[in-house]
Amino acid sequence: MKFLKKLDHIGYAVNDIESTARRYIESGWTMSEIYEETIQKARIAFLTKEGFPKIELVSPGNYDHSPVDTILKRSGVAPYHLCYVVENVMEAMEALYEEGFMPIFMPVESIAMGNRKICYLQSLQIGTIEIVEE
Amino acid sequence: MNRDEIIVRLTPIAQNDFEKQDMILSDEQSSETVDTWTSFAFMRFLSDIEKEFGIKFKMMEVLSLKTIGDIVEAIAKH
Repeated sequence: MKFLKKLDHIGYAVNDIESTARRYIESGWTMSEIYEETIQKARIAFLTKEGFPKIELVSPGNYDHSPVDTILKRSGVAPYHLCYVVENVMEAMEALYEEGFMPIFMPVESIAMGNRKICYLQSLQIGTIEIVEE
Repeated sequence: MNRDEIIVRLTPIAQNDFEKQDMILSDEQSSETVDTWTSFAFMRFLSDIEKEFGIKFKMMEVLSLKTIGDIVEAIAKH
């Protein structure tokens, strides 16, 4: 995992962004706008507060067959991935694949991440990670 | 190796990894049609296939495997 440069955020599966965000906002967190990620079939918003890692709230919204539905069924509202910054998504994917990570889909541009390329990978030992190009 | 031989060896792996002891494989089965076909179950499935058939899928190949039919075809090519 030497291609991972730093932690970007913790991904958090939620049923409803507004209701989860409200609890954080009451405690001084700031929420970004809510983004519609049609390719990923999810709604996304970020929560930030000085001294804390960034949190990404991911909800299935109104999308059919959103992958977030599966996560919510399995684990309920819960953190489910760590996102790391990498220099080059394709190179990092190849290296992580050789280390036993399985990519879930080809890299896509994420609107919520400023149109930077992202990809999700999974490992039986590490779980789910997201990588985002710096 | 022909398709039938692949299916015979693939079936117990699928039954175990997708936790369906009565699963009968068909080409069109995918995460859309098999309710226990999660990304983690699929990852275990591919890993067990590599062990059973002594092959190693390429990363781009993995990304193109969506159905049982795709997987059977990919095994046959190795």
